[in-house]
Amino acid sequence: MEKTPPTRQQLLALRAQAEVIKKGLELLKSKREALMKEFFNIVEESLELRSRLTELLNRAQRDLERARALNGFEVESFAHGAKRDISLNIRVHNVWGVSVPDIEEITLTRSLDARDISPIGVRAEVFDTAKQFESASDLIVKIASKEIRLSRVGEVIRSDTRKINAISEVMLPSLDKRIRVIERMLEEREREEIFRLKRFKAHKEALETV
Amino acid sequence: MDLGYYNARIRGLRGRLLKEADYDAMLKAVDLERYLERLKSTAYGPFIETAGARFVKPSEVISGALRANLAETFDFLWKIAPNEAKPLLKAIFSIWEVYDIKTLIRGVARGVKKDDILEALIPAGDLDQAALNILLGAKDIQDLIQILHTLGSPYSKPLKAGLPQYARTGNIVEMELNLDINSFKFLRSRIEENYLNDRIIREFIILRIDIENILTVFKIAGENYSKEGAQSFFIEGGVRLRRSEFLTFSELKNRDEVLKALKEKILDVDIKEILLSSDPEDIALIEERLESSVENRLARQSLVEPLSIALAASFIFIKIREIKNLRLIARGKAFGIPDDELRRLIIYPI
Repeated sequence: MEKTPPTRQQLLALRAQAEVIKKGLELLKSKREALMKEFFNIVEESLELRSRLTELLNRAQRDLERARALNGFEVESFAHGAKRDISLNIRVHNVWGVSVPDIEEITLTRSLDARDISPIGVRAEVFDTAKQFESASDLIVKIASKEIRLSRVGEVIRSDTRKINAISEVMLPSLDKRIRVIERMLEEREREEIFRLKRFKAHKEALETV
Repeated sequence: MDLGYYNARIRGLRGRLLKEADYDAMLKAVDLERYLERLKSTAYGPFIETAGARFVKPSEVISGALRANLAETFDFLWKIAPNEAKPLLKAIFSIWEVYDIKTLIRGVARGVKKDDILEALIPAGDLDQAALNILLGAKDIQDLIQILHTLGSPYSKPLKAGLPQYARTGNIVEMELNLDINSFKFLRSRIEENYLNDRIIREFIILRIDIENILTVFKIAGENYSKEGAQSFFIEGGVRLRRSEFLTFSELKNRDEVLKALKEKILDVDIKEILLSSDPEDIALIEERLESSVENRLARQSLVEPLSIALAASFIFIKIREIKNLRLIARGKAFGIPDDELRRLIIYPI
């Protein structure tokens, strides 16, 4: 434990410090509570999107395998034609002082016109499969945004919990102990002073009587 | 045109095609490795050995072997064909020639690695492996078209027409559409005589045009195309679906409506039968069955006219079907597709 001079000034300073820390602790607890609420909201949404993605990818993969079985080379040629660069806009949002990157939702599913490929000679099944994978990509972007937010909020909750534990389990008890020690010493000192004064008074009275 | 020797060689090749019993035996293979073993005991054995040296995964070995076998068969059929039969065979090989050129355009325009483009190409007709290697060396689309022009390919002209749009916007769709539409026009223009073989191939081209138009309607339904917008997808020269009908159907909202409309409009017995027994949700099966109707028609013609070009044409489609069936079983074994589903998709040899 830190050695503290047992003075009244120090006692007042420590009490003020404890007061500030308690207020900070309350604030941290409210922040954590709000972030938890946000976290559980995102978790629910994220889990639902995940299960939708799994379902969509299962179907798309099955159709892709069938398309590759029936039109193997054609699928590869189509895939070359479907190659493109995708740019994502990422913005930073502030949630309770936490900077959370947010990927702007985009539609990657393309109409036949936007594919820039002649529909003649390409199987409808191949177009359908491509569409399914594009829908899955839409969902992946959506999920990525949610999961980044989730991990960021989760990290902050974890660090806040650590801080709250440190304050309530270590800092505050130690501060309280220090306050109590000073209080005790001051009381002791006061008692000694009274005793000394009493002795002095008695001594003075004895001298006067003589 | 004397096709006696040519057809005799084709009959020899036909004898090596897999039978229904072979497929059944292959379907019984419990996994991909066993399937590969069974395939080794067929005419595909040497191709599997060669592919085995190049690829590691059994699925890749099978895919590589099937591609090599198909390319060799096409090459053989093209090389031994009498010169006077080549313009007729070109009508069949043009399917893969056009496909190869489109694959090259897509690959070059999108910056795909040359090895990856090569994997998707099928040497056929005038575009044999040597020609494809030269084309793969193209720096850009303009260079590709220039090489095609130098090789004397009829496909360079329609591609050139789409070049300005590509230069302006980077879009390849106009080149592809020009190629699709004009390849049929070019093939029709080359077969003007009225001999038996010309008639067979002309009928084949018309049937293919009709089937492509029918399948295009299925593809563009529900894509909000106006009649004007759908115009560019129509291939002239068919007899079973007129331009006005194609444009009307292209405005329909979904495949269900298209199927209903086609059932009423198409009079061809074979195609009508396929449409009547089809499920609009299973477009892959409709496509396969329509394609097999071309196969069946050619097979029938090859029986009626055994000395005609129909035998070669029919063989090419049966060979393609065999490759599809084998690939289907391979995928089925690799990804656990149930045998019942595989049997439903396999179209057995006639």
